[in-house]
Amino acid sequence: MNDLKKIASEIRGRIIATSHSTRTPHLGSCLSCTDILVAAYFDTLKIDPTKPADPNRDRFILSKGHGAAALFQVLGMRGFYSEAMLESYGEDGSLFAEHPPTPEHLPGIEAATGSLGHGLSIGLGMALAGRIKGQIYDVTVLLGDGECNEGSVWEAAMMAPIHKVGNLLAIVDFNKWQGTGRSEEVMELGPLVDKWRAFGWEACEIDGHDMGALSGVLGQPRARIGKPQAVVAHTVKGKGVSFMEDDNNWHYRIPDADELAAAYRELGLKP
Amino acid sequence: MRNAFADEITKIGASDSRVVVLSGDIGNKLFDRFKLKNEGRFFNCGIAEANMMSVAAGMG
Repeated sequence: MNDLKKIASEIRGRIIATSHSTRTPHLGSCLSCTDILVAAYFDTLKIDPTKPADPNRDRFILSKGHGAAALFQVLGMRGFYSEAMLESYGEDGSLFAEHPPTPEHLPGIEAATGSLGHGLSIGLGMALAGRIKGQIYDVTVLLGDGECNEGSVWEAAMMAPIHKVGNLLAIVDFNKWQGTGRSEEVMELGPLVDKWRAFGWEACEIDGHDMGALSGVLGQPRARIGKPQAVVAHTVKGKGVSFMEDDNNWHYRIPDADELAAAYRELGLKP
Repeated sequence: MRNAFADEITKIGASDSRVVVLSGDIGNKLFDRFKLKNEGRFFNCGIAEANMMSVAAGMG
């Protein structure tokens, strides 16, 4: 667990540094899901970075595609591509921008997300395809709470339990904010866990910054045939840096040099 | 025309196991033969087209 926490701090540092140097936004959204991504990629996903197209690989879909800045750092550190490639981040024509590119362009990317509300459907399609082809893999989809405004999320939520895709897990990065305000003010989601449960999912809620809880829920062996799982992960937008936490200015705001240095100090990283 | 489509896709599906049909709850019994000949490769996604399109994308 301590190793995972150290990795998460390092990833946070890289996200913030890159946001500063390339002027890429969505910092708050990336920091809130960093622990989820680290638990998945460094602990629970059955993947081999040297075989990104292995038909039996576990699939992870970043449905909240604006978290790409976090995913890119995680995939780089995990070994899907050389970390040197990230130096082109933000340059004209770079593969690394605000949202993931299409899968054939970058190893480790399963879907070109960014337009919200599609990742769960894509993941459902992957789970069903695996069943048809007799392949054994798990599908994990990371959604945002704002993203749960999208009707298509609930269309997928209706369909998945019917097909008993026990290998599908949806995890919501419930950071309580969306683009322009608090989620409860823009579009109150109500009792979110109850909603997933009412749709037929095995639903639970956890602290989305508790590595043990994340590893536990993401790493649990999944049934081939059974209820899909929904995990509502309570998170803090901007988690990890005190002056970024729970402040929606950091949805779009780019850190300046002083803020970057302060962030590094808080994360316990050398500049 | 939809009958012609159903006939043709049933034939193609029988010879190419990569073919899956997703329907948005259309056509009374239209795909019955497809379902018979290509078991497990038909999904009625209901009247929910946005989900259906992305499920198709995930299957590709």
